[in-house]
Amino acid sequence: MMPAMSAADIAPTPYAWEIRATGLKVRVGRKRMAVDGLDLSLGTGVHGLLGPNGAGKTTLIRALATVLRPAEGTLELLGESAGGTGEHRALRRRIGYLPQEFGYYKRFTVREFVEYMAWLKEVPKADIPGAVQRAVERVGLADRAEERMKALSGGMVRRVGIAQAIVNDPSILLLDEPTAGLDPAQRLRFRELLQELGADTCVVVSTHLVEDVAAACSDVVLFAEGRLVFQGTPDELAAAGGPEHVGDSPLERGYSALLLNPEQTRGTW
Amino acid sequence: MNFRVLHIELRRSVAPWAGGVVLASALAFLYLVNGSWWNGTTAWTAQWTSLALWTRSLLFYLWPLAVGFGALQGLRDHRSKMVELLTSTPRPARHRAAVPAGATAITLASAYAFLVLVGGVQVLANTRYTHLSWLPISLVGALFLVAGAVLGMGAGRALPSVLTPPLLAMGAFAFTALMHLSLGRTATIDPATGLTTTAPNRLSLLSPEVDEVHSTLVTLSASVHIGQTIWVLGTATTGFALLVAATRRARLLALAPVLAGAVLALLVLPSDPRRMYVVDEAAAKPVCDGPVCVTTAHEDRLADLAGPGRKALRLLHGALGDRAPVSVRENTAVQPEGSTPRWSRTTVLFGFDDDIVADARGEEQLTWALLAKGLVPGCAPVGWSGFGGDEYAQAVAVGWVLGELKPLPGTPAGASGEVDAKARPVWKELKALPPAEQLARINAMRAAALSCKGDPFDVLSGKAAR
Amino acid sequence: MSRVSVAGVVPVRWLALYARSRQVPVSLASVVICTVAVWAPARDGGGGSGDPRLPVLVLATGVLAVSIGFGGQDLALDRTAAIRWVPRRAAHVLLAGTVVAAVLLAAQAMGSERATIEFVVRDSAGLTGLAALGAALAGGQYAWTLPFAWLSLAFSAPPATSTATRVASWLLLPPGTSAGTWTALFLLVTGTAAYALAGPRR
Repeated sequence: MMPAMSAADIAPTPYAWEIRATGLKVRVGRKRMAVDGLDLSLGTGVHGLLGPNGAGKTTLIRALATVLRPAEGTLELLGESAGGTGEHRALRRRIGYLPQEFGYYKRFTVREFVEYMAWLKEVPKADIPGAVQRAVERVGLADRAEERMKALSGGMVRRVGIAQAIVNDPSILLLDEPTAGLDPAQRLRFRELLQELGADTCVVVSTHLVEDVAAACSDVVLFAEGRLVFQGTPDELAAAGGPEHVGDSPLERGYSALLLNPEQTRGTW
Repeated sequence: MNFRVLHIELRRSVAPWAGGVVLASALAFLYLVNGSWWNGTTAWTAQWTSLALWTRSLLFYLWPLAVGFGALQGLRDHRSKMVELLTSTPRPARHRAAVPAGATAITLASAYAFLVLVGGVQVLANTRYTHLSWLPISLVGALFLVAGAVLGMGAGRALPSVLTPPLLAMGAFAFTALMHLSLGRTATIDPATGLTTTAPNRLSLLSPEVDEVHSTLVTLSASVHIGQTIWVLGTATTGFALLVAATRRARLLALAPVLAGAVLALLVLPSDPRRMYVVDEAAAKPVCDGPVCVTTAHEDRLADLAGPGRKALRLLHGALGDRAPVSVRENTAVQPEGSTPRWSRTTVLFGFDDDIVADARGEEQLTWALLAKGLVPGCAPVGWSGFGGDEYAQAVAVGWVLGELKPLPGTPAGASGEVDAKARPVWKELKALPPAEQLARINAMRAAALSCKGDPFDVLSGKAAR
Repeated sequence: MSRVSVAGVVPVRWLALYARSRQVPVSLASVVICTVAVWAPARDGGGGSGDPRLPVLVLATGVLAVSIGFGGQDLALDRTAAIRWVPRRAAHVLLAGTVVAAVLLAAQAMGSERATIEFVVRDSAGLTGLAALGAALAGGQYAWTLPFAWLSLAFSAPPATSTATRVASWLLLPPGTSAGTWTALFLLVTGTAAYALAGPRR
């Protein structure tokens, strides 16, 4: 299980893995343990998080973003423990997060919104305008930066979400369904962006679109019923499937092979 | 504080709307409605204190409006579904809350200041008496507005429902209305006249509105300012704490400052209305030209008054001899509304707002007005105006001194014929009496008028039994 | 699905769903609570039994609470529905006004008689019309600003001597005054028509 290592690491980091979870359990609501005993180590690179609905992917991402506190187990982000009750200010400055239901202030313009999020992430004051411009250009919204958010289409709003996630040059980037609403050309562009980012950042992308995983991710994590089912390269996932499994592409066949397990008790719909 | 972010919030939050609506509606209200704030010496453009008090009394609806706007702002995070994203950011909640609160504070304070400025420019042109003791009134008013908006924001965040802004605004309006009308006033029955009058009580001072003030010399006392500031700071603290609170326990704790503020404020605030609305000593200081004195506030009118005042005193001395008044003074006694006014035998007390003085045009009419005030000052309860026996007695008495019946200023348009019809027979009868009898009757009438016991007109007609 | 079913077959279910979409339960609860909250402390210590300000306050609170329901949940979704909205919206406005008036009259029946039925009906009709007009002009969540503005004006207008001042303070005029009745009627008709035809602004 080897994470993709980038040769561009300049300084030796004091931690081995950006994200490291041992026996992680996260509760959702009152009783349900959505993440049930997870052991995961993620380093630099683009990691795709696949799994059926209700598997706990969003809960895991929320726990990684320090929005939810783990109920049991340990979670270390960038070498720091993320399980305590502290505010994690220093940690949160280096995290970028795009939630699945991305809420935004409709009256703000694109630039103002990304600037506001940059301020919220405590980007140094002098660096904010430059960082905002870079982020907006990277997602391809430079020509619409002065438009109000309520005038944008769904895909553009999503791209603004990606822009605010990368504006503080995070070491950990968490994207929950980032390609929802993007058209095929935008998805291609987005995959290129992911590959750029994966060179020096630990990117975790939770998605349903297997083609995105195939094209952009260096590592695939399969998640079901709160537990890790598989972690490996996309080729390894494809190799796990055979012609007898359901699927239109090798990856989908591998996916169904690993998930449609006779030991599964819950449905996969 | 990042000024770029503040600039963004100043443009995109509810702040500019709040400031704009407050300013526009206040100016529209003052200018389009022909209310009592345009009349007399207590007009809002006549004096600094009157300006401050009238702009402050607009808060009866501006404060609830600020609370409603604040609630709209407080709902913003919930309606935009930004809560999740905001939780994952490092900046502490107090920084995040300070920006829209600060932006709204800036715009509301500026709107209020501009409103006062619009009036202030006119006051500068209208009066020469400048002072700064009116500033606390307006400052506390601006504080009320800002604190109301912050409280609304906190409440909107704590209760993120669509119903919160209208119900909160309406609740605040009901609060000011009830404080002004029923809960905030205590009723007393004056045993002498049998009239029920109401006076503000301590609780009413928690509302930003002030009573309508009928004299330029009356202002709010320092303890009122201090008490209201404590109350306002309590509400602002609670509002901000609610904005920042994350857990339910923190939200309950956040209610403590407003309760503590209320208790402390009620301890500091005076309960006696006479200690709430006090006479402004500096404004009431007399400025004299010989026997004629006015208050410092009206110093610019002394020159017009001096001549007629002296002439009136001379005429009175000639008519009444030793029992004549020796000086003319502007009345500085501030009495509770509905009470019987108190007059002096040795001084002609008048007010610039008395109908008879306000309507006088020219020196001659002013002399007659002062004569009338020296003979029959008028016993209508303070703050009430009427027309009746006192005015007929005035006409007859002034006519007796001058030698002929003159139409006195201040008589309503249709009533001059009636006054003449009633006064002339009595005046003729008086003239027909021997001079000693005339003087005795006039002195008896004056005694009745000055003590407000008995009807002076009846005494003049000879009807009242001695 | 049952919302689009033939009206008249399961009207109760349709009504229940419509009511929930317009946040009627919360509005109704708040109307009742606010009526009691404003009514109770000032019942006896009022400014004389002839003072119309207290019932007006209560009515205004109720109208503001129900005015939230004029917004609807999702305008685009509403517009694609197959039913005719104009009569339903008009009925909604009239029903809202009736409910507010009824709650106050019920509260009065339990306590002291303060305002006559004509007064309550006239004031609630005019205020509801104003709220509907506000919803048509500014949207459901700002609909309350219009009745609030006129309420403030009425409470502080100079004594009703000329027609203009009578129209300004129509809320407080004794029942039977023609200026007050006509103003209330005009506001009701205009507001209901505007809201029924145009719908809430988005």
